[in-house]
Amino acid sequence: MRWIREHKLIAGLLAILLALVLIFLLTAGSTSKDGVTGTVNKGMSLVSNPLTAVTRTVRNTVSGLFSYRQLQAEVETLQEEKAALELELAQAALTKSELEELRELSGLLNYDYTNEKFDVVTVDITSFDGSNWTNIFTIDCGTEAGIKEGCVVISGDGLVGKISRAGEGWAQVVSIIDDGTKVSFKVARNRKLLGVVEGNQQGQINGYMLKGDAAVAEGDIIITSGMGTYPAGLEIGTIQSITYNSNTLLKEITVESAVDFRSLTKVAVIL
Amino acid sequence: MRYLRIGAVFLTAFLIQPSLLNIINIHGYTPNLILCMTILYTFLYEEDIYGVIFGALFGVLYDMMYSNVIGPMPISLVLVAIGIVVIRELTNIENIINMWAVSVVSVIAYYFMNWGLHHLAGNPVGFAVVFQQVPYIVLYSLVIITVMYKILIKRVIRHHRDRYVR
Repeated sequence: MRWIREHKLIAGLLAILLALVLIFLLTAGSTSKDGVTGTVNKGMSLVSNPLTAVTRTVRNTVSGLFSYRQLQAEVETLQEEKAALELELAQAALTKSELEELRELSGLLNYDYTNEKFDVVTVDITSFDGSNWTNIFTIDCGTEAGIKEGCVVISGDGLVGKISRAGEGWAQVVSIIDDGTKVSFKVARNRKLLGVVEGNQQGQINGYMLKGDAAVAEGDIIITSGMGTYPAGLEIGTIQSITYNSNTLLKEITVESAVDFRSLTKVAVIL
Repeated sequence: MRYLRIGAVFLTAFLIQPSLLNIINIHGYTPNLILCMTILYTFLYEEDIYGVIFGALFGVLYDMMYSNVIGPMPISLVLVAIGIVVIRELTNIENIINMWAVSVVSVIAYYFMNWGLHHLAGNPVGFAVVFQQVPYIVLYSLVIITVMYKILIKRVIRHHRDRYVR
């Protein structure tokens, strides 16, 4: 007691530290802190949603003023792409009837894999974790829209991740890199080539092909296979490097994610 | 009164960090504003521990929002602040070079401890991922700390330490 009276500052600091270590030890072994975090997240979303919206509008307006030429070039590129897509659409319409026939056939075979149809909610990202080394962010929609833990999150570029926690007016998304779960994939070019990927400790995606002799190449795009949590056909990324592991007899791959997580502003949640 | 004012600064940093700051990030990097404020206020206010108290409080809130475990951020902040409390006894706080030196060491130490605690709690992110980003974060943090230091030093030290003023 005398020591505490004589060293109030040090005693105070140690008391704070001790309390925090206790909280850390308690929460590290428990998963049930949703009640408290839900309230904090809900309160935070009330403030950060308008703040993010205003900042984004200002930034877009200012950057638009300074990038007129670039925007002009982008418009021309998009017009060209639009023309090409219209042509593609016309061709796709021809194969639509063929697809219908295949769907009927799959129904007869009790194979409903190709009939997956999902409800999707488009949401704005309101805040990032700011840690610089994980990709965890909060969106402005939650349980009121049917979003719940485990829902898959996608963007225009491809697969983003999963909902890790959700409450009213907010939900937290963890990217596939940070999620730590294995994702089954197939190569878009040849859908018979299957494999598994997961986020690694270097903040990248890596994995392996199920067959050691799978003919994959650098630059191949991989998509979700539909086995497991993620629905089929979502782009995961592009194969950056391939190495053959003579111990496991597997082709190991490193994948560059299709999504630039830090530049995301909108995502869609598959309900 | 000072507690309220400094609390308001920390609250602003807490609100800006996940929203506004991420939108205006530089090459994907953002400084940790709460860490910057903790370093600054612990270094500048010699007889008080505003940095420790508010760092711990907002660190807990931040971990509640974004982390699977509550503790790595506030514990790292408090440990950094304790280090600064020790160092500031030996340094002249009016010299900005001392502020820079303390900031660089503190930011590196913070990220090392934060990563370590997250790793203990089961986060798989590797050491290399965190530490290849630290140089950029240190630079960005130094800019923020320098600006804040220039503003605050005039309030903290009203009369310079020389032999004419006591």
